[in-house]
Parts: sequence; C-alpha cells; structure tokens
Amino acid sequence: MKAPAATFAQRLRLRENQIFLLLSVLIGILSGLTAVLFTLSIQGATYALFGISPSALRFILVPTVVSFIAGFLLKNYFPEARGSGVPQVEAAYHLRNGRIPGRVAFGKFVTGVMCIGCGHSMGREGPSVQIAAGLASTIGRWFRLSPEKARSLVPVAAAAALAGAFNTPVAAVLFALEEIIGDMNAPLIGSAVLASVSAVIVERSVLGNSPIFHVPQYRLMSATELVAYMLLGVVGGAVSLAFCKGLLWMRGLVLKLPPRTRLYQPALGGLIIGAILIFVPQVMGVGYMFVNQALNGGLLLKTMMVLCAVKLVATIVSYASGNAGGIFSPSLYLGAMAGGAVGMLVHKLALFPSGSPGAYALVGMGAVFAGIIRAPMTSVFMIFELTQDYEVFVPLMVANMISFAISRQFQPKPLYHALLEQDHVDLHGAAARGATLSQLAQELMTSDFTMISPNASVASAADAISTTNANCFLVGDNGTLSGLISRDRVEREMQLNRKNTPVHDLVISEFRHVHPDHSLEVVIDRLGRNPGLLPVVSRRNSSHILGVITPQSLAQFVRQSLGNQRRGWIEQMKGRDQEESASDNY
Amino acid sequence: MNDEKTVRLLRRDVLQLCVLGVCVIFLYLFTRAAAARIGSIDRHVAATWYAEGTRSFRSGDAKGAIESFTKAAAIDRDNRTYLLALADALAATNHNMEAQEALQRLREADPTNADFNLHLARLAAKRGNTSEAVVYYHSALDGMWAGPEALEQRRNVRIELVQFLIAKHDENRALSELLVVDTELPDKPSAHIQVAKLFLQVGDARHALNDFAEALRLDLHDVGAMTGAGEAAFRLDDYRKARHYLEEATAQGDKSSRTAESLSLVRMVTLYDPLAPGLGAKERQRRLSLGLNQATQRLEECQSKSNSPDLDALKGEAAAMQAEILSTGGAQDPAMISSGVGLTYRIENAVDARCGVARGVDEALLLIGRRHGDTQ
Repeated sequence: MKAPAATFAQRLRLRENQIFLLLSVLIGILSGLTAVLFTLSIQGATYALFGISPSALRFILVPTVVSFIAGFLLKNYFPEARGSGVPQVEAAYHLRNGRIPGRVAFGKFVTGVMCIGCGHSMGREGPSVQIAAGLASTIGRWFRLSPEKARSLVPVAAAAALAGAFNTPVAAVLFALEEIIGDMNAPLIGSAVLASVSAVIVERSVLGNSPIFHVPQYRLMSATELVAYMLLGVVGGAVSLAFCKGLLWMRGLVLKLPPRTRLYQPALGGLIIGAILIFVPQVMGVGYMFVNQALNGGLLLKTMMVLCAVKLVATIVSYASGNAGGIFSPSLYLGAMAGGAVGMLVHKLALFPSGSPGAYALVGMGAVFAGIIRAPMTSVFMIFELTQDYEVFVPLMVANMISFAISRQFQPKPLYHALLEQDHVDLHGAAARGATLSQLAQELMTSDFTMISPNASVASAADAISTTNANCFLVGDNGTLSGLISRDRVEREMQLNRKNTPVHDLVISEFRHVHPDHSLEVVIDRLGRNPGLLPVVSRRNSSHILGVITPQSLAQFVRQSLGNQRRGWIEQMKGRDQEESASDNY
Repeated sequence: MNDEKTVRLLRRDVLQLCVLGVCVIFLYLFTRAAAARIGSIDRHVAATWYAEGTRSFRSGDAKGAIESFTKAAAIDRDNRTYLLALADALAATNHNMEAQEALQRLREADPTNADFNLHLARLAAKRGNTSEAVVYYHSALDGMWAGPEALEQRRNVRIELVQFLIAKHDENRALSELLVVDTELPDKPSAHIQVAKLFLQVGDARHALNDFAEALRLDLHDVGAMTGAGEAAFRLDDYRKARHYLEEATAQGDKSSRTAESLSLVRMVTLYDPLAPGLGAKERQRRLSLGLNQATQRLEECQSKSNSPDLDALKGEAAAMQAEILSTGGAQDPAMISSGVGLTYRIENAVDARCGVARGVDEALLLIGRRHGDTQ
C-alpha cells in the first residue's frame, strides 16, 4: 500500500518542480513584457496628457487632476499600490508567504501609468517589480503550487521585471537576491537567472538592442583620479542621505494628517509638481532622457546642479504625497546629475588628468543608488552591465562604498524598510535575515527526546509518552533510528484494545530528517512535511540519531531571535496554508 | 486511482500552461504594436524639436536652440544629427566642454565619421589646442565621407587645416599639408588660386607661381590669377615675369592700389637693375650711376638728421665708385658693376636702419641688391 503512495507523492513533487521551471520562463517573459508595456504606457500617457510643448496651465492642471483621480483609485480600490512597490513585495515575500492579490498588479499598472505619466518625479522599476510579483503570485496560486513554490515565484518575477525594465539581467538577479530575499546564497538563483534572461530577450526583441543608456567609454586617467572618485562617493553619500532623510521626514508629516485627507494628498503633490514643472520640466517622470544627456555631455554644470536639487525635492513630494511610483530611477537621476557636476568641477579645477564628466555621472549613478537603495552589489553590477568595462570597477566600488557607508552611518535603517516601518510593518534588514537563515540545525536541535523501542508493545509505548506533551516520537534502539510514531496512532490502538501490538507494526518509515549542518530554511521545509518531529541524524550514519527539532523548540528559537514578526514561519512550520485576506495599507 | 489523479493534474497543468502561453503571445504582439506606435511618436516629437532648435539657432537664440536640440537628442537617441546640432549650438555659445563631451560621445559611437572628427577639430582649434585639433583634422581626413563630393570635402578640410596651421604660425606643417592638397586639385582655376594664395602665405612662392600659372592655363582672363602670379614672381625675384603678369592684370581691369604699387616697384626694379640680362656696358654703367646717385642723395638726407662714421665711410665709397664709373668710359667691367650694386645695397640698407624704410626707387634698389646678393 505504501509503494503507490510514494510514487504518487514523487510524481506530484516532480510535477511541481517541472511546472516551476516552466513557470520561471513564462513568468520571466510575462514580467519582461509587462515592464516594457508599463514603460510604453507611461510614455504614451505623457504624450497624450502634455503634448509636445505644454503651457503653464497644462503643467499645473494635468498632474493635479490626474493625481486626484489616481488618489481616488488608490484610496478606494488599490491602497497597496501606493509608492514604490519594492517594499510591498519584500513584505509580502517575508510576511505573507509571497501572497500578492492579482488586483494589486492591475491597480499598480493603472495608477503607476497615471502618476508617472502625469509628470510625477518617480521611477517605473519599483512598480514593474510589484506588477510582475503580483502576476507571479496570482499565477502560482492558479497553478495550485505549494505555498513555498508560489512564494518562490515572487523574487523570480521581481528579477525578471527589473531585467525587463532596466535591461541589466545580472544586476536584476542580484537585486532580487540582495533586496527582496535578503540572501545572496538563496537557492532560487537558477530560476531568477532563467526568468531574468527570458525577460531581457523579450525586451530586446520588442525595443531593439539599443541600451537604456548610451554610456561614454570609461577611462581611469590616473591613480590620482581615485581621489576625485572618493570625493564623488562623499557627495553621493550626502545626496543619498538628504534624499532618505527628506523623504522619511516629509512622508512622516503626511502620514500624520487626518485619514480623510488621504484622498486629496496625491492631488496636492500633483499641484506642487505642476508648479515645479513650469520652471524645471526636465524633472518630469522617469527622466532617463536627461540622465543620458548627463552621461554624454550636453548638460551645463549649473543645469546639472539645479536638476539634482529640484529632482530631489520633486521626488520627495511625489512619493510622500502617496502617488504610485518608485525611487529606483530618481536615485539614478540624482546620481547622474551629482556625478556629472562633480566631474565637471574636477575637469575644470583638478591638477591631474581626469576623465570625462560623463564617466563621473556614471559612477555617481552607482554611488547614489548604493546610498539610497542600499544594494551595493546590485549597484556595482548594474553599472558594470551598462558599461561592460572592467575598468569602471575600482572607481565604482570606491565611490559606492563611501556613499553606502555615509548613508548607513547616518540613516541606519535602509530606506525601503524605513518606509515599511512608517506603515507599521517591521521587516528585519537583509543582514539580519541572512544571519537568521544561516542558523544551523545543530543550533536548533534538542537532545531531550523520547525513543521507543520497535519491539515494545503499544501499552508500554503509551506509558512512555504519557509523561510528555509531544505529538510524535522516535522509534529505535540504542541511538539507532528506525522510524517515527505519532501520539494519535498509539492512542487509537489503545482505544481499539490492541495493547500488545508491537510498535514496529505502526512505525512511520517514510519521514524527513536533517543533518546538523542543514540550514534553518531546510529545517523549516522538512519539519513542515513530518508529523511534528524532525530527527537530526549523523551524516556518516543516517540512522544514528543526534537530536530532534520540534515545532515547539523552533517556535522558541524564532521568538527569541526574531520576535513576533516571524509568526509566518511558525505557521508555515505547522503546515498551515496562510490565506491572509486583509492586506496592509501602504 | 492515484494514477488517474496524476493524469488529471497533468491535464490541468498542460491546459493552464497553454492558456498562459497564449496570453503571453497576445501580450507580446500587443506590446510590439505599442512599441512601434510610441517609437513613431518619439521620432515625430524629436523632429519637431529639432526643427524648432534650428529655427532658434538661425535667429540667434542659441539658448533656445540648445534647449530644443537637447530635447530632440534625448528623445531620439539614435539620431546623431540632433546631438551634432546640439554640440554646434553649445560650441557657438562657448560651452566648449559640454560640446566636446557631446561630440566625443558621437565619435565613440562612430570613430571613423569624418563629420564628428571635423567638429571636434574645430572645437579644439577654437580652444587653441593645436595638437588635438591636428589629430582630429587628420582623423576627419582619414575618416569616412558620404556622398559623391567626398574628395572635395576632404580637400576643403585639409585647406581648413592649413589655414589653422598658418594662423598658429606653423608654416612648415601647413606647407606639408598644402603639398598634399596640390596633388589632388581639380581642373578649376578657383581651386588653384586658393591653394596658390596659401602657398604664398606659407612662403612657397615657387608652388604658388605654378598654381597661378595653372589657373591661367585654365582661364586666360582670370585677373586674380594674373595678380597672384605677379606677386609670386615678385617674391621669386623674377621681376620681368612679375611685370608681365602685373601689367596683364592691370590691362584686364585690376585697379587695386596694391597691384599698382607692385607694378610700379617692379617697373623701377627692371629699369634700374644694372645686372639685368641683355644690356650693353654703357647702359649698365648708366643704371649703376643712377642708382648710386639716388642712394647717395638719400644717404645725405639721412646724414643731415643723424650722422655717423659708417655713413661717412659709405659716402666716401660712393664718391670713389662714381669716379671709377666715369674713368672706365663705357668699357666692360662686370666686377665694377657688381661691386657698385653691392655698394648701393649697403647704402640703402644702412640708411634704412637709421632713417626709416625705403620707398619708391630706393626700395627698388634694395630689391636689386638683394636679388644679386650672390654677386657682391
């Protein structure tokens, strides 16, 4: 009787793995296409709303009116679609088993196009990530994947969406690992790469091979020039800090306003943005056109300094007022302008040979991105992918690390997590998550367990288990494991008056175990598949029992290590299918 | 039972995958259509901004032009014309570094593009960076020129380089470039005249005369060529030829004072030169005596203003030479004639140094002395 059951389970498992692999590709393509369509829709909306040369009145009216409509939709139908999308995806991945309702993806698309298209100084990458993650989560549920697999589709889609929106597949995968999952060693890397590459292929087939930025040929003129890049790192750090602090301060103020004003907040932001656009239309929307200009010359020093300052203010206003849009591209814009300005000053004043201002703009993009988004590896690889030039690595890392260090020193909590915290969602930082997930089974196991001899009768087994509250027990002799037996089964046999039945007739021989060096993730996964007990066995001899992990011992560890926000894990551990209907309001 | 369940699950999976696949295909087609539409709008908008920028630039509103070109170049990044126009507008408003950056970007995309290199060369020339300008000029010359007028465009660039080098007083390099131009000139008088004038500027009168002569061969009545040839011959001290060309030019209608002055001087040189070929002994002595008298007269005038022992000595030598001329009584004495020409030259030169530049006959006497310097 056991054999067909095992075959069926294996088939199911095989089916799920195969489906997951196919879905990684399909979701990669879908995410890439939605990212491209989102970009095109924003462009189309901008043309439709502003025309070629809009009047001052149009500059004021369009963002105000469209933001009001978007605000109505955001307040009443898609409250989760406010802001970037990346922190929401992170929260969904870590706290809600990756569950993102399908309407979030739809709402984000519509409101994102409206808000960015009407001139708000916001990015398209964050929304693309949320849209793709929402679609992936919905598809995962539609395919009835296990909660674990459905959850895994979220970062895969995020990587694909970023790859499609930004055309940097490696950086996109790193972003998913570094920012969304918070673990650079996550086993999802293969699927993320697959999806990311699929998205880039699709994106290029639609938009052509032209890169998103035409970057200048990079050249480090002399080792002395690294001093200038250190200065750029300091400037990048200062800009990042000003942006993070400014955004959190202003958003904090806006969140303190009475809830009834929430409908009008985006419109008020639109009004301010409209007033800014009359004088500085270059900060409208994503603004990559002008990033390109900064990278390739054509922008004056004064212009770049003004654009950097105005973009900073405009993005803070747009985001804090509750519109839908991200901070990914504004951070690149700020970096390009700050870097370009530093490059021009260095070019004019430095006593040593220096590279073109465009090269500084390029490194500046990475530095400010590292300071704001706090994903330094993503930032390095993103710029590397844009330049495809190894020479950029050293100055880029110098500037990035200085900017990152300054930003972290004065704003310890990463911006995305600080934004979530303002919404009363407490998410541990990537480092903390990584540290927690690196806990090993040997640190979680307990040697306080009951082992019942396989030759013992049900009656003696019932005696042995009566002194404990556990639901499952080891069966074996002299530290040699032969199976598990559940309390329910023993009690049922007793009720049927089969007291003399030997325990080995009732033993569960198909069960999961772990070795002492297995990670917490593996422990959680396998414990969820066992009937309430996970044996820890020796690698040299898998029947030699070393300890056990129970839901209770793990729950105690989670409580100690992480606090109450880790309830999601405990629930998963107990095999519950989490179905949260209520969603947080961001 | 379990197998049936597995098959049912697999069927459902396949169906779902098919549905998803179809959705993806439709989305792909829709996205492509949207991309094409947005692309065409982009190009239209960029072209509109470019036209606006061109209008602003022509009307002298460089700032407005920069704004419009910036937008055009940013919207349609693949169109290099827009970025080039932006670079020109930036350079025109002395935003040289920004212009350089934009041009470098274009050059990186297409290093062999002659136009981009030429713009970079002009910008470097404007900034006074001679070596960089020369490099870019050469890159432009070696670059790819489109269209049937590639040869002419390349020649014009080389001529531009020559003019730049002349302005920078680098005549040697200018001459080497000119010699290259000279080998590829078309059969057009204007082209030969242009190059000949540049040869004159770099001090190569021989090639200048050849090119003026070639221009005259192509158009016998080209007054400019005649005047130029006269000037070149004059520089070569070939005064007979110079007189011939200058007289022809005057006869053809060249009424410029410069030509008239040159002709007058050349005529005096030919009238006063005692060593001109084909003269009799008496005529040589007469010319020598005339010249010496003129020089002595100028010397005496100068002495009245600022005397010196040198001038006294020269005056004594002049008197002795006059006496010697009289004593020969018209007999052949080439050594005396040559020595007399040398003396005349020394007197004029000494007076020039003390009492100002020679004019008229005195200038002619100086030219005669210089011409026959090897005989003295």
